Amino acid sequence: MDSLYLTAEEKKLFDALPETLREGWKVVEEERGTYESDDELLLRRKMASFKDFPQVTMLVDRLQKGDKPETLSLEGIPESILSELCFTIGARGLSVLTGRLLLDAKTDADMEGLVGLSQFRHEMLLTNASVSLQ
Amino acid sequence: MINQPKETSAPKEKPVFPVFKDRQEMTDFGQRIGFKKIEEFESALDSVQQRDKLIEALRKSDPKLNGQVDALINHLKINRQEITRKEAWYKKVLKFPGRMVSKTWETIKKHPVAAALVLAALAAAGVAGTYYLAANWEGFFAKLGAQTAVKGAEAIGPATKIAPQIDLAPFLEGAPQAEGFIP
Repeated sequence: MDSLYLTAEEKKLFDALPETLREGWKVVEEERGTYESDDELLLRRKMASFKDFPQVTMLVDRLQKGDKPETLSLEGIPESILSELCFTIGARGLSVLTGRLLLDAKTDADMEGLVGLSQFRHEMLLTNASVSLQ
Repeated sequence: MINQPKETSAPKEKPVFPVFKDRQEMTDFGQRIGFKKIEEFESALDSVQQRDKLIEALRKSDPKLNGQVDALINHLKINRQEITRKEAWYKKVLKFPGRMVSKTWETIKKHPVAAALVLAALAAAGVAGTYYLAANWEGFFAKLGAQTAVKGAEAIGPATKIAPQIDLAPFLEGAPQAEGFIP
């Protein structure tokens, strides 16, 4: 649980963090390259179902009505949404989130979130590798 | 010297094919076009011997498919792959430590840019006709006015400064609908 799976580029960002944040985490190089193709991600978007999360429908309704995204919040949406969300955005989406969060990590709690995110991506890459047309 | 004909660069319209959210939907489709069992349908996707039967069944179900059968078969194979991956993913997620899941979600929720990205993904999944975003995370990030993290960390300001620039409107309009075909 303390392993942080980072690509070589991400590791540079990690190394730039204050030592107090870096200590205690074991960085493992993320070497797998089984990222989704555009076609695969498009399919995942069409396969996605958030019907168990009425909060999502409400948020999307508000966006369509013109509410500004910065006025909306993910509060109230349970963490169980992560399964469907992560599959939908794929390892590529998770990489974008990981990279962004690495830039702004300031607390140990942020680091714990980052570790989790990197593990989600790692497992997604393994899943992608385990089932392939090739 | 033989002059090669130049290829025209006119964009081809991508055909709209059915998308099955899970194995049951794919099974139902297989049955509708004449395959009694999902195994039969899935093996026809892979088998050279049964390919003619599959092509015939697909053509029969939609005579307008002319010239698109190969693309449809390829699409169905990717759809099946993604269904299988999703099944494997859900089994795996069940074993994730609860604390890790909680901390990950808490971190995403409180980060303005990460939250906006997630919001965009949810909107793309919830609104028909916005599907290009799902494959364009890197581009979306660039449109937020920031460079991708790994390319230019120093160029990105604090998240709180970036958040007010976020406008999802461009991602909620205009792309073609992806429904149809299912017989």
